[in-house]
Amino acid sequence: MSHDKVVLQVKNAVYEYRNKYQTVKAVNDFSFSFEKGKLYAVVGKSGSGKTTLLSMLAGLDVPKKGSIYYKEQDTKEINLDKYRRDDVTVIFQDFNLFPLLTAIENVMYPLHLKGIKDKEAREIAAKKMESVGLDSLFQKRYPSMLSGGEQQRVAIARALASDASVILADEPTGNLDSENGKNIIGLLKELAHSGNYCVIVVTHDLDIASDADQVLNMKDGKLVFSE
Amino acid sequence: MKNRARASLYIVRYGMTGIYRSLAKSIAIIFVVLVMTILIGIISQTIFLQEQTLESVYAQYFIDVTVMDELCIRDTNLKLPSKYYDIIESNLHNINDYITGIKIRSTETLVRYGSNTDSEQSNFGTVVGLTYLPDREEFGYKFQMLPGYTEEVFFGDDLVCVVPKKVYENLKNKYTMVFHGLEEMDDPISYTVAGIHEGVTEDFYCSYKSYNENFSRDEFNIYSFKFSLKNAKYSDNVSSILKRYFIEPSIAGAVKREQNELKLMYEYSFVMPKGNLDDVVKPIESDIHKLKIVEPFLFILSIATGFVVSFLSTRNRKAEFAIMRSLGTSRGLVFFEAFIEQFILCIIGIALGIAIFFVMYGSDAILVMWKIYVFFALYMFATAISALYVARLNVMKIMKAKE
Repeated sequence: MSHDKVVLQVKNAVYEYRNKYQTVKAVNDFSFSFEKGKLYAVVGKSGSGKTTLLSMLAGLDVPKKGSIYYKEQDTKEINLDKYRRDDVTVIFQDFNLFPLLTAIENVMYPLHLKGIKDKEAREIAAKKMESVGLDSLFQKRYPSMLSGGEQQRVAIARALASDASVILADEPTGNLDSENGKNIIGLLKELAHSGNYCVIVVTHDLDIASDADQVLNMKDGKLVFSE
Repeated sequence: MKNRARASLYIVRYGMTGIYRSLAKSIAIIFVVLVMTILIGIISQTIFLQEQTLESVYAQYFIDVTVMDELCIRDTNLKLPSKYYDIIESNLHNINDYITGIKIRSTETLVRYGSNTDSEQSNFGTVVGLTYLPDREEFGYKFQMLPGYTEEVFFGDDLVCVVPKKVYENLKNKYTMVFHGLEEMDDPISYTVAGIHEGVTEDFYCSYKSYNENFSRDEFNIYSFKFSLKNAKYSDNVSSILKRYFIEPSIAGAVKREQNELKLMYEYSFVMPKGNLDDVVKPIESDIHKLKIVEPFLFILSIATGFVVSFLSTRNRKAEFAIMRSLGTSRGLVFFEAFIEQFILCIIGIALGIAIFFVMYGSDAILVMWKIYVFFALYMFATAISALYVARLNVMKIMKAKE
């Protein structure tokens, strides 16, 4: 493992929460280093802690114990809103596009958040859409006018627009047919390899996992093995 | 900082886009706010108009209160104890808010009088204490204050008096009147002449307080006691104060057999003729009372409406706000977005409501506008609560629930 390439490092991360009856350790002493230029697949049964891990990696939460370092900076000590705006981006199973914005407006959203002017944001967004295979015809369509695969591509274009170095994807093919699923995974893999992104995909689909450069298997919040 | 300002401006634009692109929902919210505005305006305006009517009705009634004997037969020669004057004097500040024209007249005391202390005088006259300058009607002759004196002197304890014109003209010292007692009042007392009257009888008038201190033979020296209400609307307040000292005559004629607050028996009554005042004002007061009960509920309803409308509209967009958060939108901007949308809709609704309200009531409507501002503030407060709720959502929980 090259230290230069490590972009996200999880060190003995623990995340526990209390329900009515007991304290549950959703992530239990998890350690791993994620590198740029690779596609990772995090697999495990439901309740194994995959989504909690993703949530912490995305800066939507912080570990109760242990730490997550982004480029050697502890996420507990940085502005998580800025971290999500500039450094990591999340793609969800349900695409999660803004329903009242057109496809290109969706892609422009993270650019506007950075304070980029409208004209420039539109140009960047159009390029990002093209890079995921969506030509100008799709730009003015609302999410409801797009197929599942097209919506997920818009979501990926939006992720790319933020210029983050880490792309997190939670079951990105869950709502797609197998062909579209394969295409999306292919696209993510290409982004990892040729775009030098660190792409972390949470999935329970072992076929998708087989496309990954490295598979992390989780059970009861722990990393069982990686291969 | 510039980027932050641009991001905030974008959020406003995003909100406007949301309003425009979900027009049916936006119109529904505007309509709710509009209806609430008109409703609050109508109720507030109705209360205001009813209160104005009430004021004008009260202004048409002049109520004089007269203290009478126990059986309500006499209003003169009462022999009321001087303690009743003390109540007026000690509470003058409070009483002044309610009543005016306090007319207390004392009993008469026979005295010898002259223009200086040394002269042997055998002229006799009577002294009467008053709290007011009498008019011609009461004693049958005209009273006139000398320059530098006003009616006010009757409500103090200065040694000044009003003397008959013919006595004044014969005085060696035009300004001093000397009274000699007949029995126990052996030491002569000098009074300054403050006014004259044209009566032929040798009656002298001084302030009631000075009479009580210098001429009165006993403490039961109030001959009559009257006053007027400043405004008919104070009748209930004054009545409740008077009941602590006097009997209020009733049809049954029942009389209290106990001591009042002055440790005196209830031996005097008061009459406050109100005519048909109660018949006129009670229905108006009842209407105002009912509306004033409804009014706070309307404001509570405005908070509830603000909360429910904005909560329902934001709850359905939880996922949208979660996406915003996941893309790095700060809690502050999410709150701002949720709030600004409702703010814009509320402003439009209120503006339309006010416009209709002004068409209905004209420029009078401006007098109750502050209540609409209160409604606006309460509505936005409720909206802020629901916006705060969406800003604090757990993003992953919502995303997983959606899937």
